[in-house]
Amino acid sequence: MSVIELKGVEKSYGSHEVLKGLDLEVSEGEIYGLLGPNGVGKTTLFQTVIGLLKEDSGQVVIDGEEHSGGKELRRKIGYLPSDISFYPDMTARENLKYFAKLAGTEPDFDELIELVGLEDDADRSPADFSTGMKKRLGIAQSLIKDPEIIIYDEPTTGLDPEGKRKFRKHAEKINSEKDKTIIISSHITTEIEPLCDRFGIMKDGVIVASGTKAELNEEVDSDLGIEIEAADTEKTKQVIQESSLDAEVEEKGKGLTVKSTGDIRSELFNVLMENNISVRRFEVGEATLETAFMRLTDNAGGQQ
Amino acid sequence: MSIWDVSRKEVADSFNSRKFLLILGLFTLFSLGSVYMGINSYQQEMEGFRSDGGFSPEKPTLLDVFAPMLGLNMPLAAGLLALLLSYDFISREREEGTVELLLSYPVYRDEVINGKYLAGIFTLAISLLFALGLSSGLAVYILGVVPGINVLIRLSFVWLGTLVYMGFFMALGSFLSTFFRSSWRSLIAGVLILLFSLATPLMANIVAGQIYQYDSSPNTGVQRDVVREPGAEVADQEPRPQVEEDSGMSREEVRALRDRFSERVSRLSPTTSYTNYVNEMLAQNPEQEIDPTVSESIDNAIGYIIFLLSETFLAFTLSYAVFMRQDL
Repeated sequence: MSVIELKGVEKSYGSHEVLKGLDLEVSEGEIYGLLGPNGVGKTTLFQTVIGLLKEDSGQVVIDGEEHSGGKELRRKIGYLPSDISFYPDMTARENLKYFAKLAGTEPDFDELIELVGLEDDADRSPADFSTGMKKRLGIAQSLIKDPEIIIYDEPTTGLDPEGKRKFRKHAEKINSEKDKTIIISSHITTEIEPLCDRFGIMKDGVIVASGTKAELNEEVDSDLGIEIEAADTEKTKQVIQESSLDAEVEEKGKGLTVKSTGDIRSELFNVLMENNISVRRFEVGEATLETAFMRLTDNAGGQQ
Repeated sequence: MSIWDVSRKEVADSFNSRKFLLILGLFTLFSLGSVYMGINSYQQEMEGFRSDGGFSPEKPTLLDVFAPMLGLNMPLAAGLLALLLSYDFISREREEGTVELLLSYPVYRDEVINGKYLAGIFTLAISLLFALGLSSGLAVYILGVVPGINVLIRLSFVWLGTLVYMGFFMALGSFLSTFFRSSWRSLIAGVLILLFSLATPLMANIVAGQIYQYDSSPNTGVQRDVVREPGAEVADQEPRPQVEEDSGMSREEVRALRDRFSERVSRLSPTTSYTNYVNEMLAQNPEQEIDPTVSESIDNAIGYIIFLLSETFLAFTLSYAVFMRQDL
């Protein structure tokens, strides 16, 4: 069942069109990764889902109900903005208590604080916190409403590798133990790849591809090809071109790259064996989420 | 309800902040200083009254002690205090980066503004009560005169009117904090508007003088009806109204027009409404020969408060209109 469904959502700031008829579906209980280069509209999309922004056209459906910016729907969504800030005149615990009052909930603050490992710092002002600590407090804050859906906007930005590892651990724990639907955005695939069940790749204000890692890979697999290094490159190339295989061959470095629209691995290997080609290396290119992301967004420079 | 939660937090923030304590301290010192000046003036007037055997100058009342503070100094100080509390209502949330998080909770934008406004009014009411209470205490201590019920009622109404006046500048600060992204710009704009409001009567006079001109020198102005024969004696003639050449109106008519224009323009200023209100409530209106009763004073002053309230609603509506439609 879909807990978030966006249909043809458009949003502009003045003449600048940010969301251009975006469609999105997130299923209950999954961790959904929203990938896209910076400035592609991920935050605008989240703010529209939460009700901070009103879409110009299209439909935002949360948990089967059209989002009108009402309080009930906001109670269902926890949110961690990318640049999280807290009230500096209050301690971390007081911040959580204030947000709980606004949400009309009475969570177990000690449990929340313990969950994110801030037991020793809960009575300090968040103004003195490191980025990692602020993000952890932000995660605790996102759970205050006991929401069905949690949105993390670029949660790993500014975190060191240890902080990123901890964030993934917290998110997994929240998803599995508390049974929450989580949406995480990032422009760095490796940071959320191990965490998410499904991904959406965003470009120019729309989701250009969506699915599991395997499904996305499949979309770009055909482009990757098979890399071969043989004793006689020229002869190998000639053999493949003269075979009945529906494939394109091109020289690449010391070897060849064979591309086909289907899976021709075994047929190609047989052709090479039948023609007594001495093969030194036979490597099937495996699509990663990163390659899928880069191909689908044509964003060679977008990765860090 | 979220509005009370926002209010409670804001009140707590105010009372815990050094900025507020500093402002309150200065405001109280200023009030005490102004009342001290009023006490000196009261004592001098009282001496004059006693030395004259109680006939001609009027016997001063305790209300005269508060007149310099409330009528002259308070318009600036109260407006400034209200602006200093409200200029960063929304812009601070933006600058600190908390507005996005705040509004992701089940809180409507109007509840944020209303909550902050309510908290501000409460804080101002307490501050004003504190400053007026201390000032009254000082007056009673030095003069040894216990205020009667009439004085207390009038001072209570002045307190209420001052709160309404502060409420206007708080609504203005609230609007500016939504309009400007930077708190500093909001504060500067607010202070400029306050100064403009204070200077409106003076500026209105200058403009009126430019529009309705007459030559004030005694030998100009044509007395058209008077035909002077050479050597004729005119000293015993009845003085005739001097008539301006351009308009054909008498000097008094031009002056009346000038005063009316000046008064109408001045009335647009919240500060003028407030000072008029205070003068009525403190029975300081020089045009009234007999001191009015409290009820008469209220009747005379109510219009000024209604006008101030309408200006407050206007400023408040503007802050709603801007904030409700604003992208974060």
